[in-house]
Amino acid sequence: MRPLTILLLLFPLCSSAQKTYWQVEHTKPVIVTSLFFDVLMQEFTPLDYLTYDQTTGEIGYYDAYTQDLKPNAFDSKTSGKKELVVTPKIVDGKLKVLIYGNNNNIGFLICKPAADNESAFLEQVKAGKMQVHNNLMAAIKELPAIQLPKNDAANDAVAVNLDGYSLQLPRDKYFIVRSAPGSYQFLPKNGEPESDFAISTAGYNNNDSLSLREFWPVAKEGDLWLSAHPYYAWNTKEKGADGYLLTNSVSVADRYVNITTANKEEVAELFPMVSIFRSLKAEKKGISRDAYNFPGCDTKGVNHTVGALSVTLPANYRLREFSTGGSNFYQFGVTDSLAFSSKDPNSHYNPVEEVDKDGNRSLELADGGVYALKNGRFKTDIGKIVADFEQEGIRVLEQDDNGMLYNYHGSFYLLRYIRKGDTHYVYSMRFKALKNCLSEFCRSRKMFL
Amino acid sequence: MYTLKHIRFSIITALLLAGRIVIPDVYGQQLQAVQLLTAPVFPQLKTAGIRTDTVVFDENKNYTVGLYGEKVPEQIISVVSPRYNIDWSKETIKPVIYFKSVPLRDPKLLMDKEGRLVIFVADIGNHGPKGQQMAGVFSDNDVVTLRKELSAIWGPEKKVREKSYTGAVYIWKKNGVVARLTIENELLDGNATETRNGVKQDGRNGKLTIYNQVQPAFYSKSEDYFNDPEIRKNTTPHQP
Repeated sequence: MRPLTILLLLFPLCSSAQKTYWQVEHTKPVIVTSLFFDVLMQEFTPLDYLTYDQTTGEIGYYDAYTQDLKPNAFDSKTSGKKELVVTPKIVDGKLKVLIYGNNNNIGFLICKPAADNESAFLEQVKAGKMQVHNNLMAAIKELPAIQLPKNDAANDAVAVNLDGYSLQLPRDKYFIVRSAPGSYQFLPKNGEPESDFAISTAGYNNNDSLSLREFWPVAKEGDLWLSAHPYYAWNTKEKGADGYLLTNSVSVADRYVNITTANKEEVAELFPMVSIFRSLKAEKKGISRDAYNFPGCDTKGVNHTVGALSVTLPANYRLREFSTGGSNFYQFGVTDSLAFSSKDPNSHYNPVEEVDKDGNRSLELADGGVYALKNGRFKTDIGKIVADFEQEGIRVLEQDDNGMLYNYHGSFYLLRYIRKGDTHYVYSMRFKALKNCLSEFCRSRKMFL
Repeated sequence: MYTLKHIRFSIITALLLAGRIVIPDVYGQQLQAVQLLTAPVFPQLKTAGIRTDTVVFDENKNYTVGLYGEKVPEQIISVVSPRYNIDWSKETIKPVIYFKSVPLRDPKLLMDKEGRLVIFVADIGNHGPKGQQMAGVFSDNDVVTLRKELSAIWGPEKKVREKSYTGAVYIWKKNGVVARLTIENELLDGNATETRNGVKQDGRNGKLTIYNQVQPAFYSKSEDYFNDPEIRKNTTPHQP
């Protein structure tokens, strides 16, 4: 152990560092069979720089497309793929880096001398990065001018009051989900379960951090910014933008409320949201989130009896008896204790199905059921069930005093829980469309009579 | 200023690279595949100065060495892949294993625990668009030349498949050696089914498999053209 330690300490003293400085000239693929390798070979640009230490064999890689002036290990370029063996060698006054992967992917990176010393080298690296920046800025400048559209009356029909600020939203278009304290997501009620835009509060104006994500404003109206993500292909000199987003920020008390869309490929996809974003104000006015989410909530229903429980269901829902026996079985686990199964004599299931006006079923209609479990040995409530679901990685979108609404594998579900005596009851329904799930969620709040 | 962490890092890197530094600039001579069948393999590779990568052979992964659906004998424990020589001035590779005059691409040596070569697998020819040379050495004509070379030492070939999923299949049997050559795009008629990035991969290429003193066999009896004379008689097109 000791001689090794001494060697470790002395070695750097007896070897003078022989760092050499290089600029990428071109790549030479020899054999290419994998797509990854093909892309890797194309990723090196003459704006990239390398250092090579002849003593240690270490390569420092200065990628023109990163903003800091620190070198990366060459491994980061090869994604740490073990089968790619990297061998640098100075031949004929050039640095040649052989990248060799299992006989099937072989290529050279050929570099010319860049500088004699570190400071001159870093100047060149900086200039390379500046060149990339300038190219991207030129791409932004050459984009066609974008005018933010004027307000559309249909798009700002309702004022909604969130934590100390307000927003004008189209009527009955979005489901506002509270994703974290002070954070909201806006899911379109008709459409994909991805959010159109989101609000969060932070100690900074989100517009100030857009450049870190390589977004640059192309249209501004105060803090309402439409920004583009530029690209520049160094080999074809093609430039343009491959992503757009809309942001706004208002200061509320000592914090900023930031509103931002997802990154969209086409700028026109953002236009319907401009008037919503423009309406963000640091003032309390309008209706509550709950009132916006559940407009015109109708709690009426038809009475049914399940065991000792009386419930109301919508008129177009059918409650059946489940016939066990043969190959018929059911199994539904809510939590470890609250599990329903046809094997368990204390468990009971009544399927509930939505039917169309002719009394027929289809996959687009809701289905589920009322489950009952006789077991006096455990206690639970909707809060515990929500916590259990979230621990399982299921995102609960909304919760009230006896129910919750969640999204799972492309469908929306509602679940309500009540206990009568020793029997636990669960009403659970699956919906294809968020809008239908929301209306039944609201209707069923008072379903347990 | 070096911190202790830096010192450790540089010394460890230096120690690791020490092995690389002693390796000569241009390693390796060429070896003949036929020689590998009779004499111990490792001394030959060492004398020729050929670098190799060795991996443990997993019998479930016979397809990774191109032996689709084939029973690989139990005695095989490892796969040795000789690496190409590197021409640093011309920035290219030089094949290290040849069959007579034909350079072999990505050869794989399936070895038993005595270091004996049991199965030899290699690619031949141009696996890209017609008329090009892969890495400046592997050409459309290689595989046809190889078929003649194989016939010159192991007698006339038997065509056992007109059209398998890897092309026409030829086999030779002599003195306990079974050689198989599959040829894709044999007629160079531009009828290749394979495309890469939208470009037809209609170069003529093939795969050479040599079974050295072992009986080759397929899992599926209906495919077993090695052992079923009926299959060899009817060279029916491959039915997927």
